[in-house]
Amino acid sequence: YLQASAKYISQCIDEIKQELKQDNIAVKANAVCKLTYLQMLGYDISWAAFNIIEVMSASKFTFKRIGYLAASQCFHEGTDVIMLTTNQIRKDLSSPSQYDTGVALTGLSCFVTPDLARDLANDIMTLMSHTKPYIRKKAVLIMYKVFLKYPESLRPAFPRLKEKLEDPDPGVQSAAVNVICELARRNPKNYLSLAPLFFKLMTSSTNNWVLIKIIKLFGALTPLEPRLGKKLIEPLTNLIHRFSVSVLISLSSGMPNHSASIQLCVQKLRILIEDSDQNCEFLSVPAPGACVALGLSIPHDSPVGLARAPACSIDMLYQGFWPVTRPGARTGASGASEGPGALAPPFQVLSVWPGAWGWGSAHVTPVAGRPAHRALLVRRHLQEPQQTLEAMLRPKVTTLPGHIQAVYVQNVVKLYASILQQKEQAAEPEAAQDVTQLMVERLPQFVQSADLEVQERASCVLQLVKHIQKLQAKDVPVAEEVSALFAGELNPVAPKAQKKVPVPEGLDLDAWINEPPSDSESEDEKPKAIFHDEEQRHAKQRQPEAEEEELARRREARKQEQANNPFYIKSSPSPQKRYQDMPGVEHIPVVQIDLSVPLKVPGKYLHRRGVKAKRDRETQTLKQAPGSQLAAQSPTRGSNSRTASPAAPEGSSVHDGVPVPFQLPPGISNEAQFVFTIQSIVMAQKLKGTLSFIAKNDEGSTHEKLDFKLHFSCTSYLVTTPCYSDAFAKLLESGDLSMSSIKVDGISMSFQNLLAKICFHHHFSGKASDVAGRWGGFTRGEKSVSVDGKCSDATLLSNLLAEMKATLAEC
Amino acid sequence: MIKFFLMVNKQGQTRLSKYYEHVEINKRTLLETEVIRSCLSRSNEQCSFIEFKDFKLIYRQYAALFIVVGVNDTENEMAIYEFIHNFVEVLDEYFSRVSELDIMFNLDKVHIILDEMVLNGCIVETNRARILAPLLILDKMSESI
Repeated sequence: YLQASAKYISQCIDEIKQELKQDNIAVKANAVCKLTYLQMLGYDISWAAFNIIEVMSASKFTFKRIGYLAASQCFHEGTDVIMLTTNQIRKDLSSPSQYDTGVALTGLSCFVTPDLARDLANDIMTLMSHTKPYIRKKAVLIMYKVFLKYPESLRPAFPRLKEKLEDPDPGVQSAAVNVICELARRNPKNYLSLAPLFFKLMTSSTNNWVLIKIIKLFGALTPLEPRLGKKLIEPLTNLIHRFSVSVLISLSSGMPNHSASIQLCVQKLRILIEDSDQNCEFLSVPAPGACVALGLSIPHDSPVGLARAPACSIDMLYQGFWPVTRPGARTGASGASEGPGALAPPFQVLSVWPGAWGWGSAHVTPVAGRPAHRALLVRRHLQEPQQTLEAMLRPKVTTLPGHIQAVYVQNVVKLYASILQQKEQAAEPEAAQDVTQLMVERLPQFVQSADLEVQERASCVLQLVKHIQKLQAKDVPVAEEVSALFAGELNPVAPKAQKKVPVPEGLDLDAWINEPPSDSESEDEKPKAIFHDEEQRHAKQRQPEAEEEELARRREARKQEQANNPFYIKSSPSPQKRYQDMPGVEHIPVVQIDLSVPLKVPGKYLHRRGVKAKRDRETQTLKQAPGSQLAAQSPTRGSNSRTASPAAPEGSSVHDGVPVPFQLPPGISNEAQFVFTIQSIVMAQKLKGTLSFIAKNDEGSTHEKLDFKLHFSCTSYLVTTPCYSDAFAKLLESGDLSMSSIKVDGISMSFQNLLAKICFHHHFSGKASDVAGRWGGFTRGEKSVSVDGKCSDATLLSNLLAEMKATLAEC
Repeated sequence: MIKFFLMVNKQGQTRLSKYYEHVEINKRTLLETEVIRSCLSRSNEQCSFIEFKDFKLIYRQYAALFIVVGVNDTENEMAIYEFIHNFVEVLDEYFSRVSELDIMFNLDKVHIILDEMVLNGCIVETNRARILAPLLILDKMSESI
């Protein structure tokens, strides 16, 4: 049959060659068509490349199409006649018939070479804005291929591509999304700026496939931009509720670390896993990392695992299954507990694959690690422990990382124990001795390991094995004892468990084992010290503090810590609170209150009265240095001004004072923040206050006052917001803005400096070139500057301009 | 993106093949045989997605014909699965109850349809009317000649 068909085919090829020599284009086209079919069967037709090009250049669409088809099937970068197609393709691309263009684009996508890409990039770019969406779609998609072959074309084409994301035709839009997703997959950083646009698309698009692509894209972007993850949570949660299956799968792989959304995902995925459709099941066994993150449990008897296993590599298999813990558990890569049931599937697989233990390759490294030791608990279920043991003891194992080797050693012993048992039960003492000999031979390679743990374990085991060997020589059955070594489950110990172990009576963990170099403090204080959690962190704080000074200092530190919290305003401190150690009071930021500057007192007044001071047992002088020794604990009076009020504590009236929540020992500075709500911003505000405090020294205490004034100019309320040109134009056009202007003469400063000064003092933003488009118009005259402003509130505007005038007058 | 699109029958004969990434001609036949072998060895309970070398295969069986699409990992498997069905529905509409013979005898038309649907490895059109429009016009043109 084969011979006959080969003969027939070579006959046909000869026929075709004859047909190609003829002038009739229809005949040629037919021949090329036949060639396409042959090519599909596996026969090389590259000898006919020139003829194919001839047919491509046919004017009739049907023939042209055949030519392009053949070209797309068999042309590739190595085809040297491709250059001849450039002009033809260009002609077709600019053809009035959209189908001609279409077919050219389609065909081109299969065989575009860097040269072709370079030559045709411009043409294709213009096609992206073709009137027909049919063409636009194709052009957008082919641009991706062009970018791949000729990367320099990306830059000029990119803005157009971005535009296509908002194309009215949904087909073009999804094509653009496709292309950008592919591009972003390769280089996510560059496409972060597109995130807001995609966000908008995601929330507005109804096309599921587009959504899926966008979500995948976000999955790639979120690792780079953590804030993006947070923003995505809400819309993604909505999507999960709306859709199923495919969206979920891509979501689960791209999900940021948010427990609520992960929970939701897990719920839905669990439903999917149990779905009868095996496709759904398959997809819902997510990729390794996602599985780990989601802490999924997989049903034991699921055929999914087995179906997937043959195609997976071993490490994927393990990573996909091992982190599985009890259902509902939400631990990290290796939880502290193991669910015995969940380990079932891999056992089945491994029994099918005893050869799976023949790891000699790099597959091991990603697998092993924490899952490895659990993987090797499989020993009891293995059918071929002997083979496994030999595989594990191979010299290549020593190339693995230390911690993995340690695990290996441990498990080698377990395997050994079970083999021994097997052999002894089967009454094969020689086999048992052989195994022991194997161990003796192979263990030394671990003993020589650089890793300490491996060395230690290996030497222990080696000694044990040698001992066993001796016993075996005397025909003493050892298997029972060796297995007994591994009897019983050792549950993992939490790292903090040691701390919770109560100290037995009379045991003093801190006592010196040797002769203490200095006087030790009273014994009974130390056991208490052990139970103070905070103190365990400070290794140097072994000496107990019985002195009052130390206690007082701690209390002070606590107060300062509270003071640094701007929202903490306490009315009466309680000395009974526990204080934590502070890193050092010198590190607290200092605001110097300069007492020596006299304060002006115009305008409305705000009084803060000190009433009482909090006193403790400190006996420190307070007047050593100016500016930093205030021991004021004072409720203060609220404001009299109509338009400003401090954030007073709950329940206090407007006239109460606001307490300053700290005291200052000598040499200490501190800072407190007080929050004011301004009710009107259209005029400048002046806030006057009085800080009352009590200074205490050896002789006694004196009540002092400190007046101050705060001026809030109108411009201090200005917040710069970005305003884009069209929004700004709309703003200017709208009729409800009042206009005002000022003019200041006699300016000596340069314009740039002046502008900078204005911007700085009055919280504007802008550059000289932008200025005309911004807040006001700065017209430049002979050493005089005029400022025009528009604002929705006339009062605010006039105040603002007045302030600016004042600033300008200084220039 | 889609790497290749194959239609192979149970005997292993390729009825249609389209590659969106260049593959050497001798490697193609090899690839096709391997692909069809993995598809044929699947049972009914197993899912339609196979991991094969560095792509994923998504296949659907229609009578004696397997349609296999190879994709890389950015593609959504379910989407491609539905796409295969969409393609078959388009063929069905054009050929009225399409059979393997139709595909064999009208290979170029099937290619036209496929090219309307997939461009450069991406799905570009799924609307039946729009896909068939150029083909119907073409037919009219050729009839009128």
